[in-house]
Amino acid sequence: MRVSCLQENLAKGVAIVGRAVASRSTLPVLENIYVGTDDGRLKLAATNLEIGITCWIGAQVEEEGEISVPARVVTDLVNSSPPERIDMALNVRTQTLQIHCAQFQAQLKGIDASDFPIIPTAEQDKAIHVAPDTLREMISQVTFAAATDETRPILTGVLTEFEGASLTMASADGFRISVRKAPLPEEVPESFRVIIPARALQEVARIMGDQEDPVEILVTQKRNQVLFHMQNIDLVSQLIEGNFPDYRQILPSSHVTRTVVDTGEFLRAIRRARIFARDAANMVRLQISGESTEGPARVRIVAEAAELGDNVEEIGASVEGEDIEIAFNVRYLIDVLGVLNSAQTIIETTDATSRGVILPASNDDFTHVIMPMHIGQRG
Amino acid sequence: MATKWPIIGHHHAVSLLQREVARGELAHAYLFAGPPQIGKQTLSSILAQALLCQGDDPPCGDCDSCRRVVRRQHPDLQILDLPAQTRLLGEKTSAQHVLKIETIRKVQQGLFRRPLQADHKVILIPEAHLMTTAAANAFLKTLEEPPPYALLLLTTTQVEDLLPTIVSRCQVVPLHLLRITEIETALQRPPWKLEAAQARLLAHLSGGRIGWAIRAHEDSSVLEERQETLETLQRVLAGDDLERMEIAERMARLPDQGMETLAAWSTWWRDLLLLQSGADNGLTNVDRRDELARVARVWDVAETYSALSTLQETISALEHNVNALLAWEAFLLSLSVSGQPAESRT
Repeated sequence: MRVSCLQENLAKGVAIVGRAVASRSTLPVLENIYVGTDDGRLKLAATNLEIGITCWIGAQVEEEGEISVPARVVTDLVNSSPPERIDMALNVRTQTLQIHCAQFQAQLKGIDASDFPIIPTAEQDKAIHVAPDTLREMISQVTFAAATDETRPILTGVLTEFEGASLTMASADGFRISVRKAPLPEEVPESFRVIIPARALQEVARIMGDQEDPVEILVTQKRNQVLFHMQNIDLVSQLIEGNFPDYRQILPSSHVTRTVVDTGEFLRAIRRARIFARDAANMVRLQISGESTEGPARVRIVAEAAELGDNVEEIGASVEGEDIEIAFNVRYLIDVLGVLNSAQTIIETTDATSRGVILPASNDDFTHVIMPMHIGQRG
Repeated sequence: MATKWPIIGHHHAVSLLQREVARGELAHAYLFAGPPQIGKQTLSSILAQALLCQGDDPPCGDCDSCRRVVRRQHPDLQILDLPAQTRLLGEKTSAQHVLKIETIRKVQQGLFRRPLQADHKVILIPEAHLMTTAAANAFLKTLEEPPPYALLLLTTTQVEDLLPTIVSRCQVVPLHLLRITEIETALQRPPWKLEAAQARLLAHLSGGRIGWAIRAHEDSSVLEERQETLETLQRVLAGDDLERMEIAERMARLPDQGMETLAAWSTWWRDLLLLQSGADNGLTNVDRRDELARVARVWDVAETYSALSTLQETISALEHNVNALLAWEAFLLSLSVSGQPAESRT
């Protein structure tokens, strides 16, 4: 292999695929980055067997070839190189990659590319197109509610359903549920559902960058992987095996109190409440009352920490239904309010021990459910 | 019927597994139990190869998948031994004696991601008895409810050291020592192609352990060490108390080598006993037949028997952590000198 490319491009490519390099694995080759020629371009790839990222960068290919080299070394080397042309040459016999840039010349001992797992890349025909902004927003609205605790592998994933002309993503971690729907530009020929690791989706959102063309999504024939095809980048994620809990059954179908608040104001108040709540099991109490002789409709946000003191804040609201006091984990509220994308927030509650629902006022494509905390259980 | 699997011996187990692979009726977990170095790992690895193979006649040995399994580089095959644990946990090699619960947990996480290249995912634990109780209990969960594409392969030399709950959740495939003739024939074929005499010697010395025979063939120091061990025995038998005590001291300092020495000696005494009782077949140390025949004429059966039992007692005592030096001294000093009973020496 003999290839030349610009340091800037190589550094960018290595940074993108570097996100998928395994830190600790039983297969040494997974700590490497695949470097190979592909149709006049340079192909870089890495995988940790959960996600695999392939990235193509412009290069001048003089001789075809492929190798895998230690990710850490090649990343550090390329990042510390001057912004000039980098020449790479592979010695097939010794499996050594020679990197030459400006005044330095490095020899990198690699592992045969045939040891590198085969990462599927896009076959264009059956792809489902999703607008990048929509996908980015969906990912931000569901992935945070997925479990990070690996004892329940299913819940570390996001249930992704393609049905007719709509795409639904749902996640749950046992305390909250996040569901986001979006229309698809065209109907899928066959409905299907897969569980995609939340980590993989977060990676997709990250590497999507300023992509403007639709992201192409396709699931491999054996339903083992999902592939996100972007401009010059493919991300493949292994799917999670198992049955996702039927979250639709858990979504509350009715409510007693419906409260509408200003999202920004509410979020700022909750953030202040957190200063005290974090020392009190993260509990913040919402005292919601309708218009009465005592004053207009309002939400009182109360956080008390036994050792520290307390904070009380009142914000204006419009309240339909009975007065209620309900406690939530302050972190969960901050998480959801940060991704709501609506000027006003709807809070639907039934009683102090029933699930609360957080909705954007501006549209009905997002639903978030949070389990309340017992008001007795103060930290 | 599928092609013959490249396994020496174990016909019963191989035909059972071949049938199950062909019909797609594999159990979700197998436990291969048997003495060391008889091909348990080879068999489990071939089974993994058969399952992951992309060729028409699995295991074809020729497809990308088969070649990756052989190189231990298949992304859907996870081999969980101590070196693998070292990599997974990022720990020092010297700190690895058991398979820890952290390792099992990491593997379980990965198992719920669907396979990458093949239709299955295989986890191979070569020395399953190295799992700690906590690790084994954590692994139970996987054994009870593995994902549909998973195949769990365990091998062990010490099935009695495994939790009964683990054993009961696997299909147990007991494997036994190979017949000497099986090994002898195999060694004369490719890839080893040994001379008949050498194949015969290694087969007999192996005591039915094909793995030992191959190692002895590939690494000449194995045979040299055995030679040395038997020379030491001759020195013990001919030597005075002082020399025996020196040898005892040396052996006590190297526990592993000491145990190997005792194992080799026991084959020598066993051969002696066989010759003394008129049996001519089944000798282990076929290359020492003349020397053995000479000693057999001097010693009587009772002496040989007593030496062999003292030796077995010493092995068992050392396994139970007695003072190694005392055990060795007691054993070596109790032996007769060149056919004279120990009592009559003083």
